[in-house]
Parts: sequence; structure tokens; C-alpha cells
Amino acid sequence: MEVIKKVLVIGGGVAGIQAALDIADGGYQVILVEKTPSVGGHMAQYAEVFPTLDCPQCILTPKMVDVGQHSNITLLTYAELQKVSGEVGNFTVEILQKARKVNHKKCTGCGTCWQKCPEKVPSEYDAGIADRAAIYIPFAQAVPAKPVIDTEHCRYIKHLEFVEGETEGKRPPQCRICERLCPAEAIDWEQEAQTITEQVGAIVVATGFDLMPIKRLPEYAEDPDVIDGIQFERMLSPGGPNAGVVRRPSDGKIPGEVVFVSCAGSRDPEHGVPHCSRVCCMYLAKQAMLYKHAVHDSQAHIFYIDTRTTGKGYEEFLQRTMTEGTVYLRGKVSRIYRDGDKLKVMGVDTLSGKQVEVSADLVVLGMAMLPSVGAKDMAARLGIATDEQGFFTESHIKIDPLESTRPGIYLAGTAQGPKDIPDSVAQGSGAASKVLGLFARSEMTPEGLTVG
Amino acid sequence: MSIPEEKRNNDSDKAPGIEGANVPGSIGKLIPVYVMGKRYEVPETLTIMKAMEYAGFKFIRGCGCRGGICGACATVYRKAGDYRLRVGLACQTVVEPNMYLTQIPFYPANRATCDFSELTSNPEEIFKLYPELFRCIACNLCTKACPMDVEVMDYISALKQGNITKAAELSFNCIQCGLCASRCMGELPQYHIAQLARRIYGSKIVPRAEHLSEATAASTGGRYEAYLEALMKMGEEELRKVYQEREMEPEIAAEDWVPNDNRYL
Amino acid sequence: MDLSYYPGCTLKTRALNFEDSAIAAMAVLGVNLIELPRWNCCGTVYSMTDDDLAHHIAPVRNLVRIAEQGSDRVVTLCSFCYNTLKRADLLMRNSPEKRNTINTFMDDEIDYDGQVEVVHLLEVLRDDVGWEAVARKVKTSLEGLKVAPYYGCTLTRPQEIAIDSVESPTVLQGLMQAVGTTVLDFPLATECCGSFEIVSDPDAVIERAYTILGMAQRKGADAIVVSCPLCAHNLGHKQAEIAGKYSDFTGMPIVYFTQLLALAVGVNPEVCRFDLNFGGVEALLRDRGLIPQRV
Repeated sequence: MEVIKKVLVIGGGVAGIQAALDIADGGYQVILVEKTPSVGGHMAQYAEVFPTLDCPQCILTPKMVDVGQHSNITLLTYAELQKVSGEVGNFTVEILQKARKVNHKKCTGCGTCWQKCPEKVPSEYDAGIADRAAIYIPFAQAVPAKPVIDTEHCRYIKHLEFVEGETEGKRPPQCRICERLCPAEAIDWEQEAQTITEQVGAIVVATGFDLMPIKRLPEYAEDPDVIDGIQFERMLSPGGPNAGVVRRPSDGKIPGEVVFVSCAGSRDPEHGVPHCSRVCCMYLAKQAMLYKHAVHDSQAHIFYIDTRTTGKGYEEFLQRTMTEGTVYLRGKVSRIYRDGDKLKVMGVDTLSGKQVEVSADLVVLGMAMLPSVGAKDMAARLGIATDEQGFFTESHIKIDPLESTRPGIYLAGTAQGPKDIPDSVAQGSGAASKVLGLFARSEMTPEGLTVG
Repeated sequence: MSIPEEKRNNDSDKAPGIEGANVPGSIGKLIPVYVMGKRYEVPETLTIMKAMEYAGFKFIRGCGCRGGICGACATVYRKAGDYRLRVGLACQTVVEPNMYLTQIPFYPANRATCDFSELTSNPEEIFKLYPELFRCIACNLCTKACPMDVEVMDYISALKQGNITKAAELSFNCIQCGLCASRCMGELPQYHIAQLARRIYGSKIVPRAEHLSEATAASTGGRYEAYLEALMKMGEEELRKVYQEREMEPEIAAEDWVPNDNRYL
Repeated sequence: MDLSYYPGCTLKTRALNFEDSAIAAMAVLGVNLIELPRWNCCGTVYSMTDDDLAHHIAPVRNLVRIAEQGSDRVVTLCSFCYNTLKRADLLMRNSPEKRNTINTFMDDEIDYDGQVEVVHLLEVLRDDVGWEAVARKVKTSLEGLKVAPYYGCTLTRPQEIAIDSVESPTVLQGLMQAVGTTVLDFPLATECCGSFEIVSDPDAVIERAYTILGMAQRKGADAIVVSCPLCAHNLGHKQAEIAGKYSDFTGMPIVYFTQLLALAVGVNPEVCRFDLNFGGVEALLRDRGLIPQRV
């Protein structure tokens, strides 16, 4: 059988982007599918990345733009894979292009609509600590830089549903401000979702990760000032809701004491997940350092079990964090609760053998890294195996970590397991090379062996 | 002690017991028992106490009423081939072949001292005198050790619950032999604690019989003085006559029977 | 409905208020707590050393008693008794070797293989009676009474025997809401009161108690609701000392959940034995007009 020289890359984070670029540069057609309105993934949310403290948007956006403009890449954002059939060399894939309600051919990305939209929705990109409009681009450097309408929150859509459903009560207003103000007449309420069917020879799965929700650890208090790492990144980020001024969610006060909790949910077979999430030691150290740069006379405490600093320059970075005044306490945190203006963090310092209670203004939890929401469904659709947490299982964990359990479907990035950005990028390229190797053959036997 | 051949009853097909013993001049079938490790041959019809005396032991301690009620002859024994420890009173238990036995004439159990007149019926006072009460882990070895089938663990339990009355009632049959304390994992002196409970019960809890106090008061108050004076003054003849003519309650009398002479009722 | 009831030693000596109020309240709710005719001390502390089976004999013997009496379910009030009996039951169910050893040792009893289900009264109230049924029986309004629910450790730890979520249980809150009190958010609800350290290190207990009592005071609680006589003792007994050491502590009434339940469903306050409580409970309730003034 012929090998179709086209590849589907699922996931537009840094691993998927790298894989797409490498395969495209290798001369083959790539379809890159991303379920959110823009590529970029979690890396685009961070403030500065370790160990270089580079701005992630600055180093990522060139690749994002490449992906958007590469002649060999068809970028489908706001789209999701629905169905896969066939086998290596010859997959049939069905992709749902969700209805944006905005005609991207007409839209110029001027920004008038999202500036004027009256609706406020918690922003996914800002991890819920700031709002966006119902018509929006997720962030300023989005690719494509053209908006989508969130139909669940759009006032006009709700108005239409109300009218059609003949519901009782007060009728929501018609709104349609975006439509009225759009200079390009790009709003298209009639736009429907579309199913796109394609034939591809290989698939790369790079669906990324999500952090474990804080509410899975009820002992850490449901409190607006107990946040996770990504939320803190948005606070630290100069492009964030407060332009890099760290203000705590409850009252906007600048915190003078921040406690970071490592292994929140990780390494915890009883209440969380048994695995180590690999990046938290580093990013919590980085966040403590950035926090102290932002708030000069502040104090940071990090509760840790170990300090896993395995990459190049990582250990040195950690030492710097400690030297710059962050206090490391070796022990776990048993409970966090609010007492008036402060959050009380009850933990232990095993090196001195004493119980410790820290009074914090803000607590950042190093929540466990889990496969992105919906990974297990994706695995079912693709017909590949996952482990108990939902990370996709590789063909052999040591010697073949990028091939899934189904020939022709490859893995890259945190979808395969927790890892940092350099490893995700490396795996993106690695998966690409597997695909390029596959495509170097022209024919395959029914068993999936390549010939010629 | 050696038994002459003609006096031995060697008919093993005869049932043990009285038959053999009633044969004149015979002492019945002999069986081996081990007293403190040494083997003796003793008649099978004897109690442990009698068998030990038969074997030549003379009791100067550990022998009391011989009637099963004083608790002095507490004995611990095993039967051959069985790991189980058994207990019994030497004066009541008949020997069996290959019994391994020893006596426990005295067990050094803790006995608290107190001024009894200062005690009340508050169980906290027992707890203070015997704090080891709370070391009981309900293993029930004490109950198993009791030769009088007293529910030892249950009365200890009742005391822990502050119920002195129940403890007194349950421990009624205790003969203070000490076997319970000898087996106790928590080192409680059960029988001493129970005795204290019974004393408190009798002295501070049980209601006084009012009619007894009244009758005693009447008596010491001189109710019968005149009659006794009169009797003392009588001569032998008159006394005899009065005695023979006295009124006695018939053996089978109605419940409401009263004597004719009711002066001293 | 009839339920076999295991009191435990403390309920018969120091916590009569806990027991009397419970029996009376449950009777109003249609549940008869029938005390087991024969029972012994539960042993209180579950022995965790692997080779110490002797300390499991006491609780297992009680389970045998319950099975002998034809019951397959027993309810207990004291949290420690619940913890010990339940863990002993689990040991017998899960470990064939230990079960065998213990059954063989207790050759004077029937074998125990886990025939009995051990429950705590809060579970019965939540699962068998239900909050709605409790609310329907409320005669005396406890509205305006602000309570801090306090579980102590033994009801939710270890997790195999927990009656509710280990970190954030809500069963006590559910009951207190059903009887009409205002339940405060109390983050230290499952923090240990100091437990047996009251014997060997009372100063440690004073510190723990102050932390818990102080938090309740800052949250504006009128009383702390407890389920364990040891917690009641540790939180209540040393209040004078705590007030002497920490001037910001002004006292905190400690009340059993069954007492508030009984009061709410119309049981005579005399039965609830508020006179046996620590911390000024009688004064508080009199103040709110919930129990009559002293003549």
C-alpha cells in the first residue's frame, strides 16, 4: 500500500509546533489541529522560563508565526479531532472545525470587537485571575490573531436561544455590538461547525498537560489567595492582568510573604498521583526568584521534599534562588487555612524536626502535572493506550519513547509524561524524525512494515 | 511407699472407682501422677490433695477446709500431651493418669491499703487504689483460671464502668485463691479488687435493713429485760416446766401464724 | 428502628451527658439505642505494632458479644470506641492469619470473621435518619447559636475507617444545620486535641487546646461541638489554665452534638445533663433562653 505523505499533528503547544515545523521543513504536508483559538499552549502563559529567564512569548512566537505561515502547514485552530480510522500509512481522520462565528477571511484582527464586547468571562489564558470578552483572542500574540465568539457566553446567542426556546422570565438583550462595530463585516452568525475529512499517513499526538485542580486537595483551603503555578505566572508576567505587579486575588494587596508548596498532589499515591511532575522544583524556584525581584523586601518560603534539578544549569539556578534569600523548608504541608488577613500554612521542617507554621499573604501550590483534560477520550478515539493517569503509553519506555502503542501514531511533549520545555521541543523534533523516516518509504505491507 | 503385691488390684478391666476401693484390703487401681516433676503412683480414686498425702507429702500450707470453699489449695496442672493449663482445687479434683501438677499456695498479688472508714461509694476511689485496673485487656485468662467459675473479666469490666454493685454480685463466689491474678497479663490483683468492691458494696451501697436496726435498738433498749430477769429468778423445776410448755412455731405453719403469747413480738 | 448500642467505659463514668442526651434524642427520632447486655472495655487504643495481637482481644471480644446477641450492626458514640472497634473489625476481616490466631486464642468464644458492622452515631443520623427527618423533628429553635464543628482525629483517621472525607468532613455540619444552628467554617475541625498527651505532657495539650479554642473564638463561635469525651476533656478541662496563660482567651463552651440535638428535638434539658459540661455551657444556654433560668 502506498504511504500517504501527509501528517496530522494534534496539539499546538511547543511540542506540536516543533514537530509540525520539522516535518514541514522536511518537505511534507502537515495539518496542525489545536482545540483552543490559538497555538502556543501553556508555554505562552508563563512569565519567564528557567534557567535562562527568557520571555517565553518572545522565544515561542517566531515559531508560532512560522506555523501559521508555513506553506506546508495547514493550521486548524478552534478545531478538534473527532474520529480516526485506518492504519499506519493510511489513516482517515475527521476533524471538527468549531464555528467561530467570525469569518477569518474578512477579519483584519483590528481588535475593535473584543475591546467593545460587554460580556466578561474568566479568561482561560489568564487561568481565571482575569477576564476576557465573549468575542476574543486568547492573548495578544495569538496565532491566528483573529477572534472567535464563545457561544456559551455571547449575549446575542443567549438571546436567540431564549427566543427560540420560548423561555420564561426576562429576555436577555440582543447586543450584537461586535457586528455593528466591525469594519470588515466579519461577524457571521450563520457560520456552522464543519467536519473536515483528511487522509494522512501518520499522526503525532502532542496534546500537552493540565495542572491538577486545587479542589482535589481540600486540606489546602478553597481560598482566592491559594493559587497554582500557572496563575502565579500570569501575575508575574509583564503581559499579565497586572502588568507584572504581583497583587493577590482577594484584596489586591501586594503580598509580603509568599509560601510555595512543592509536590501538591504529586508523589502522593494516597490522595493524589504517584508520579513526580518533574518541573515544579524548578518553576517554583524560578517563581520565588521572580517574586523577590518584583517585590524587593518580601520573603519567600518553599516547602519541598527534594530538589529535582536535573537539567543543564538547573542546579546552579536553584542555588542562586537560595542565595537570593528564599528559605527552603524540607517537609510537607498538612493544612492551609485562612485566619483573618493571613493564610496559615501548617507544615514541618524535617531537618530541624520541628513543626512549622508560616503566616503567608499568598500561597502558590506546585500542583501535579496531569495529561490535558480529555486525554483519555483522545486515546480512545486514536485507539492508543494510556497509563492510569492518562499519559499516553509509549511503545517501549526506554528505547522507543516516541512511538505509541499503535503504529503510525507518535507521541511528543507532556502528553507522554511530565517534562520541561527543552525535552518537549526535543521530543517534537524526535517525533518528526520518526515521521520523516516513515515517509522515506513509499510502500507498506499490510502488517505495517515498510518496504522500498 | 510400696504396696504389697497381694493388696494391689491389677484387674484393669474393672471400672475404676468405688468398686476397686471397696474390695477389702485393696486400694484400687494405681495411676501415675507427677508432683513438681517427680513421678508417683497413686490410687485413681483419690483427690489431688489425698493423692499427694498418699505420696508422702505433708501439708502445712495450701491445705484448708478440705471442703472446696476456702481457696487455700489452688492447683495448676496439665494433662499429658496437652498444652492447655488447667486449674482446680486440690481437695475437690480427682487425679487423672499423667497429671502434671503443682500447688500455688500463695500468689504475691498487690493489695492496696486504705482507711476503709474514709471510703465512699465513688468508683474513682477504687481507681485510685488500684490504677492497674485499667491495664485489663479483656484477654479472659482470669475467667478461665477460676476454679469457682466466677466471671472475673466481667466484674473487672463492670468496675471499669463504675458499677460496684454489679462487680460485687458477679464476684460473690470468689474464694480468694489467687489463680486469676497468677494468669493476668495486666498484672491486676482481681480478687483483691473484687474484695474491696464487695466491702464497699456491703458497707456503703446496700441499703440498711431498717427493721433490724429497730429490733436491735428495742432489744438493747431493754425490751426483754423484765422477762429475762423473771427467768433468772426461776428455780430449776419451774424453768423446766416453762421450757417444756413453751410455744413453738409448727413445722408447717400458715404464713400469718402468731403465738398466743404476743407480749414480746 | 432498634440498634445495638455499645457505650464504652467513659460514657458510663465521665460522659453521662453524652449518653443520656443521645438515647433521649434518638428515641424522639424513632431509633432505640439498646445497650448490649454484656460488654467490656474496648481497649481504647488500637495497637499498631504488627505482632501485638493481645491488645486487639478486647475490641474483638466485644464484636463477638454483639454477634452472639444476634445483631449484625452496632452503633457507638465515643469516637475512640468507634475507632478501636472498627479497626479491630477490619483487622479480623482483612488478615486471615491474625484472625486465625485471635480466634484460636479466644477458644472460649465463637469465631469472629467480621459479622458485625460498626457505625458511629453520626453515620446513623446521616444515612439512616437523614437531615430532613431530623429537621422535621425540631421543636426548639437553636437559631442564632453559632457553633464550630470539631471532629478530633479518630472519626476520620485512618482513612479506612473514616466516616466522611478525611480532610474536609461535613457530617457534623450537616447535623448542626439540620437542628438550626449557624455552622461556622472551622479550618481546625480535624486537628488533634492532644489526646492521651494530657497524661504525659499536659503542656502540649494546653497549646493545642489554645490553638483550637482561640480559632473558634476568633471565628465568633458560641460553642464548639464535639463527639469525643477525650476531646471534650482536653478542650474543656484546662480552660482556666489557658485563660491564665493567654489573656486573649475568654472561655469557650464545649457541648456534645447529641446534647444540641436533644435540646432541639424537645428533650427535657435536665436529661441532657448540661451541668456536667465544661466551659460555661449552662450559662450560654440560659442566656439564649434555651434552658430555663435557675430558680
